[in-house]
Amino acid sequence: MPKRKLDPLPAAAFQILLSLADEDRHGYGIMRQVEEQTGGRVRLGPGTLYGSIQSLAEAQLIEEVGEGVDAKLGQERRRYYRLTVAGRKLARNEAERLAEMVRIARARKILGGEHA
Amino acid sequence: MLERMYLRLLRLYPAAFQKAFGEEALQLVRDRLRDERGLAARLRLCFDLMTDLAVSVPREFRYAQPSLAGGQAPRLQTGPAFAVLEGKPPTPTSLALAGLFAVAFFAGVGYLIGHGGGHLVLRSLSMHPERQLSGPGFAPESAPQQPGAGVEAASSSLGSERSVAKPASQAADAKAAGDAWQRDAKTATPAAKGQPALVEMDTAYTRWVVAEIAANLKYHYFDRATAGQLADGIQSRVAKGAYDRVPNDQTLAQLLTRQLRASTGDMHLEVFYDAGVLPHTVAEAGDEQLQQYRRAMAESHCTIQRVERLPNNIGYIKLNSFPDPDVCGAELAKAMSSLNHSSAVIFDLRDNIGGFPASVMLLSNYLFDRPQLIFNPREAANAQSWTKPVAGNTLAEKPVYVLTSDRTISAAEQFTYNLKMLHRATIIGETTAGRVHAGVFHRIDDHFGVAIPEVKTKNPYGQPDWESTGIEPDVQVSSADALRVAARLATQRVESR
Repeated sequence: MPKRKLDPLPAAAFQILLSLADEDRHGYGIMRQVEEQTGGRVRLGPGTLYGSIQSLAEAQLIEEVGEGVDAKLGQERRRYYRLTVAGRKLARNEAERLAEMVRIARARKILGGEHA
Repeated sequence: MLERMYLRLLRLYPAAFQKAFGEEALQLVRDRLRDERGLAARLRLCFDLMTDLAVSVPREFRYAQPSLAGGQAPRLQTGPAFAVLEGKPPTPTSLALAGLFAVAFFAGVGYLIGHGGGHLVLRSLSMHPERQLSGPGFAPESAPQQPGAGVEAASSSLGSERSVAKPASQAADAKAAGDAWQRDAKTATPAAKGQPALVEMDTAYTRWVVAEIAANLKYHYFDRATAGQLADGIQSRVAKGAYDRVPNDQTLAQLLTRQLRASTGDMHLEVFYDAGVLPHTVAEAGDEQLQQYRRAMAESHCTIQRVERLPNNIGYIKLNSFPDPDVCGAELAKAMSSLNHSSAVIFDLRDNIGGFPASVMLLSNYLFDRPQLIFNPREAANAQSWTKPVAGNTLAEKPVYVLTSDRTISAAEQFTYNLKMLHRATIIGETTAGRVHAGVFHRIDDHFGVAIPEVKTKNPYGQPDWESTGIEPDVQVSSADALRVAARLATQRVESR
């Protein structure tokens, strides 16, 4: 039985974890937040978004917190998602791993910056 | 429409995914449809959805967890048990539908790139003479921004604030005919009818453009009675769907131009199309633009490319525009007085891109020793339409030659036309471009505009001006030979005196 692979953490999944860092969001809210935090470069399509949400929920990195209505968007009931403790920890680890990569890139002089 | 399409495409996902997230995925598409309006945004959404499908469908199947269903079916003790995998692969129908849709989608994108590339690729604005804005001055093509140009246009343009966003929202209205794209996709070969999904949007857009043009005509055409009839005629044709099948590009613009001209006989009516983005007219030229124009004129010596005396005392001036006399009056006067003692004058307008009628008057002043009416098809004759003899000028009696090419345009044609009709000059070269720019330009949206004459002018020569036909030279030679021929003719004439 093929298991969803979150190792290495796909970019989309990482972005979703980051988008939930400050508050609980519904799917469309996550998509918009990811778009905002990437400066418009990443627009998660529905398939990618909910596919990732499914994997993340299965791995208990995020959890569903129930349904609610987002008054700004209309009367539809939407499922909201929240970052779990494990999810926050994983996101922090991933961020530290990337920071380490950046540090190496600087050291190898392929990325600018005052700390060579 | 897009929502329905997506609903069908959702079936490509494994059943478990559909069940868990189908409704939410659809809701997301609905949210984006609500928040992202405009053709460009919709195309981006389509593109996003397609790439998303291409990436996520295979992945969902790869990671789908086949769960056993149907286990409750009564089991025979001896026979094999049947179990059904819930995450079953796509059915042949959905695969066929997906394939068909992909072909249609790419054909649609191909069509857009070919015909309406401006939506996808923002082309830099190249200034063609065809879409020179008309304003108080005949706009020189390369002059950065005409000071004063487009004052009327901006103040009276109805649709300038609208953009292509409008038709996209109208596509929702066309939803009544919701399944048309599907019928098309099934009955026609995708290659032949490449853009089914875009057909309705196109139709709504076309109708909107034509209706806007009709409204502009109704309010701005100088002949009120004709304007009303024109607009009503167009509106009824729109209602009958006469324009629905016309590609909304150059084809539509040309068709409308033909129809408008045929029903009025007014060659100054014209509908423009631009695959890029039509420039917005500015309400008033600011100081900055005037400064820019002054700089450009200073750098180009007021577009006077050459002033010299050819052999046999023949004066020659190569003028590449008719610049604003307020900026270049002194330079032009200096050039003309330097030719004052020539035995004949050649005006080389082969590369002249037009400019200011006031500048046409300024040069004409040197060619007549009495007040002479110079016809300007853009405004009714007034006190400024008569030449004023220049003190000390001796050129009024001298033979004049004007060199033309098929690029000679606008104000340069006004100069040429008057001298030809008054038999004041011999025109040598090619038939000119044929642009009067008599209409005031009204911008409909990024791609369509319409030129509408707002004042009635009387042609003193009692015949149509040069719109569309150009001015035929007296001596027809290729523009490359024009100077040589003119110099020879001038020499013969001077020597025979």
